[in-house]
Amino acid sequence: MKRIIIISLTMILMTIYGIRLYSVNSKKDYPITLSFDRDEEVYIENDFFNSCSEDMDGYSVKIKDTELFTVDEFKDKYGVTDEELFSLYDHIFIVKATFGNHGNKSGEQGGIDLGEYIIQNSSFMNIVERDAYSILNGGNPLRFSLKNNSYYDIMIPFGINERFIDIDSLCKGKTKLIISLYPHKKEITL
Amino acid sequence: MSDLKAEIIKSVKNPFFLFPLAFLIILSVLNACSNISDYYFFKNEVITDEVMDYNPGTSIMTVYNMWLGTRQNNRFADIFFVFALLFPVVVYSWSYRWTLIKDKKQSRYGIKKNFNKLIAIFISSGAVSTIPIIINFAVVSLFIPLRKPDSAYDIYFGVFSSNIMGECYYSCPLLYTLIYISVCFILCGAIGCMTHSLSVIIDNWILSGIIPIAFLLIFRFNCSAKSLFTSDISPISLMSSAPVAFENLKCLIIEFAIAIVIVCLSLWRIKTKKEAI
Repeated sequence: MKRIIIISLTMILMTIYGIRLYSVNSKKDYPITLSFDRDEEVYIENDFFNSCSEDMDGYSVKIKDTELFTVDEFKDKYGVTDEELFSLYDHIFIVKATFGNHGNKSGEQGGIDLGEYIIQNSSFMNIVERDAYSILNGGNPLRFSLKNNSYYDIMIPFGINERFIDIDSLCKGKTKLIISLYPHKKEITL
Repeated sequence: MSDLKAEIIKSVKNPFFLFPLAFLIILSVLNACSNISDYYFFKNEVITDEVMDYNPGTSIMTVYNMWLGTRQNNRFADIFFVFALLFPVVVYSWSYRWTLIKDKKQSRYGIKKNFNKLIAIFISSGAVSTIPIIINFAVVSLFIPLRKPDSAYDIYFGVFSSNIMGECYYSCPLLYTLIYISVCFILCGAIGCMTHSLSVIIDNWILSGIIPIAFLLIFRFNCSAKSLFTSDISPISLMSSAPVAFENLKCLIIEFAIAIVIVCLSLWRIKTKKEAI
C-alpha cells in the first residue's frame, strides 16, 4: 500500500513537472532563425542587431565568395609591413559581399554597421577584424549608407585562430554570416 | 550483495548524511530562487510584448546559464560550493565517529566488507553533493526556458569555442550538464572514499577529515595560482561551475588518481594487518 502511494505521488509530481516544463518552453518570445544560401540576395527588412534605429530596411546582402589566407600570405598580398599586426591570428578569412539599397531613404540615419556582423560556426563566433577591414577597403568606416538603388562591393575580413576553430570546419560549409539577430536571426551559409 | 545494500542503507540513513543533504538542498533552492528572481527582473524590465523596437536579448536567458552549475556570482552558490566538498568528508568522518560510538568494532573490517563500505561511501558522498545540484536544475527549469545557448551571445554564457566541451555546450547542452553533474558526483564520491581510506591508514577520524580538506586547498591553490586573499575559499573552486571544471579536468583527474592510490593503500594495509593476525 505504501509503495503504491509513493509511486502514485511520484507519477503525479512528474506529470505536473512535465506540464509546467511544457508551458515554460512553449512561449515563443525568442528570435526565429532564417537560413539562406550563398549567392542568394537576402533582404534585411525590419530586422536588426540591437535596435530598430539601425534602420536596415531596404538593404540587401549577397555573398559572392570567400577566401582564406594565412596571415603571411595576407600581409604579402596587401603589402603589410607591421610585424605585430594580426599576431593573434593564424589566418584571415575574407567574405566578399555585395550590399544593395532597394528603397531605404533614411540616408545616413540608416545603413549597415559591419561592426555588428558575426561569423558563427557552432561554438565558434568572431567579429570583423578592423585593421584588416581598413586595409582591404581603403580606410572606409565600418558603418556606411548607400544611395537608393545602388550596390556596393565590399570585403569583410575575420581573424581566425586555429586554437578556436578547425580550418576544415570553417571552410566546409558550416560557417554562417549573421546579418541580423532580432526579430529574425538571419544567417547566410558561407 | 545484501552486505552492500546494508552498507548503502546505513550510510544514507544517517543524520550526518541527511542533515548536510538538507542544508545543501536549502542552499540550492535559495540559489534557484535568486536566479529566477533575476530572470523575472530582466524579463519585466527589458522585455515588452507590445513594441519590438529593440533586441530584448531573450536568447541570453536560458536554464543553461541560470542554474547553479554556471555560478551566477551568487552568495548562495559561493557557500554551496564550500560545503559541497566539506560534506562528503563529513559524511564519512563524522558518521564514522557515529558508528564507532554505536559499535566499538566498526573500524576493523575485512577487505570485502571494506570494499562494500567504500562503494556505499562513494555513493553517499557523491549523492550528498549532486542531489542538491539536480534539484537546483529542476527548480530553475520550472521557470526559465530550456533554450539552447547561441554562441552569437557567448559572453553571456561564459563558454567559448576554445573551452573544453564548448562544442557540446552549444550543440547538446543537456548532455554537457549531465557530464558536469557526473564529474561532480565522481569527485565528491572519491573525496569521501579518500577520507575513509585515510582513517584506515592513520586510524584517526579527526585527521582523516582534516587532511583531505587541507590537501585540496593546497592543491587548488597551486593549480589556480589564486591569491590567498580571494573571497573564493572553496576547496573545490575548480568544480564551482561547469566551464571552470572542464578547463581544469587535468587537476580533477590527478585528484581522483590520488584518491584511488589512498584507497589502494588502505586496502593493502587491511590485508597486511589480517595476514599479521
